[in-house]
Amino acid sequence: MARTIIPFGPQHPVLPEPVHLDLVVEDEVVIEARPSIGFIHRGLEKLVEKKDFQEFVYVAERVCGICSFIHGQTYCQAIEEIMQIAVPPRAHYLRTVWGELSRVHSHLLWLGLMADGVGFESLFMHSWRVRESVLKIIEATTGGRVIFGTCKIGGVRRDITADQFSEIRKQLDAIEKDTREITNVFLNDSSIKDRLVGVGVLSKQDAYDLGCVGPMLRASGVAQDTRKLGYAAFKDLAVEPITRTEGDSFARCAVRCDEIFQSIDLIRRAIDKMPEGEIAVKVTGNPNGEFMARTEQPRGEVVYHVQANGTKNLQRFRVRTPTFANLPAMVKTLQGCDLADVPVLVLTIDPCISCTER
Amino acid sequence: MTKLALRWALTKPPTTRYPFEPRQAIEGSRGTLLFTRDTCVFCNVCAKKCPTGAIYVNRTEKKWGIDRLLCITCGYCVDVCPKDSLALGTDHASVTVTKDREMH
Amino acid sequence: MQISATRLAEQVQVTYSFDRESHLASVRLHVPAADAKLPSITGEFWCAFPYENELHDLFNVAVEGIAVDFKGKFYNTAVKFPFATSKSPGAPAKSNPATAPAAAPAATP
Repeated sequence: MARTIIPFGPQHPVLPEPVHLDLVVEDEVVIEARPSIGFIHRGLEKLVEKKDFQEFVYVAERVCGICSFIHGQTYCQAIEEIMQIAVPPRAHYLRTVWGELSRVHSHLLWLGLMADGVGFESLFMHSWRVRESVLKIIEATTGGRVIFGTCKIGGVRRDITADQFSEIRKQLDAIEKDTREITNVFLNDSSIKDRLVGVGVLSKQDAYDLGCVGPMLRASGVAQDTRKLGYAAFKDLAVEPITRTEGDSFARCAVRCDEIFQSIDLIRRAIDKMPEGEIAVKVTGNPNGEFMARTEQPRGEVVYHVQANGTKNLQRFRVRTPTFANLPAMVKTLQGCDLADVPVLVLTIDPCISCTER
Repeated sequence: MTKLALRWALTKPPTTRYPFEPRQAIEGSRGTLLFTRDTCVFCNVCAKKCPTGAIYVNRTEKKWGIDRLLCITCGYCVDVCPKDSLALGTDHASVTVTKDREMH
Repeated sequence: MQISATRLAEQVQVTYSFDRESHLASVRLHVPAADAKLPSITGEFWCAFPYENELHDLFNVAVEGIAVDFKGKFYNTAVKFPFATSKSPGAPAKSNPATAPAAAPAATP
């Protein structure tokens, strides 16, 4: 029973971003997995020494392409709390709408990748076709498809008119109908169930001890969602965390599918309650202090630890992204699985490696 | 899944057959930066505000240049220009083969 | 939970944050920068191993006894210990009192 070490990645058709795993395999059963990261390390945390804090919003947004808006929003929230700036309520609601649109597009992207990971390429194309309609809404309201560029310290840069809102509502109805068709396939198709049910089971205690966040944690039965902290417009829009109890990959897929519908509902509620008013306040002076801002990204809870010392460059900017927190869970679930389940397990934590090593 | 597959096998594909069909530009999208030389006073504010340093302004010789490959079309320069000489069009950046600045 | 570190002029400031049901509590330590050493907490919190490997790979803080130790191979960077030098002056910023639930300073390791 010899052991072989199989390198998985950094280049692999199933991975969205390069990560390297050394899999110690004994007869097609994985005994141990050793991750190795650093392929997308751009040293963004060191850039704070060169760029001033207002320009840094652009760098913070570009930490990741899929969850970019919420990175920018969390950074702005951290600096706004340090400088005690009161952001107008319309800006909070607009940020919430864009944040939830970001979540819908990210989950649709993940559904497509998971379908591709199990070999279902036409379902991958269908998910991304629905995602295109979301990206068109985003482009019409913010100007960019992936990097929105609308958050700034003190509010947002662009407004959404009432005509655009009624157009968004019509598009959301069509998106919801298409998404329901696709999620029906995900949840009821027997070949997907064969690949996902019972793979990578994490018990509730394990998920909590391993420090998982996001849908990984919620699919194992722990009802924790950072949106309940009440940042942005979530003070007025109540969010109930969606949980499942089985803790396997199928449960995580189902949690993400349900979250898409929850987000579409949240967008509709936010548009209904959108207050009038201005969209930004002027910012003067330099920040001095520190704050830890936490928001809910599509992949889990992101923690931004920002320290400022009164100059226009920040002293320290540290991002703890959800994929970094889910890495121990991935290593743990990979022990003892079949070699053919490795792509499913790596994709089930929704890896965003460019977030993990900024 | 069979219903979905059969239906989509019989309908037209939703993608546009670019470049045979024209691309429908979405209003409000951030494409290339457009510069109007007549109204510019060479005050240099756009160059200072640019986060990547793509704009180059020479006040004495009255030259304005932009490095298209560094521009991230963020729109900061459009917001701060006092004479409204800059605007963001909806076309994508055109292809270049050299890395020089485009001077006006 | 998470571990965050800042390199100040003479010390490395390490902040351990723990979360239970969305309440965040933090513990902060200062370690002298030259020959920095810390014991590992992976005995109680196995999930801390990526953070401690990152502390070692980026800040050159030797953490002893990590449960899954990569011995410097976790982060493949071109420059070893990229964050181990700092340009910012001495003391850290004062804590903003409005952030009391976020950072609770405590000293001893």
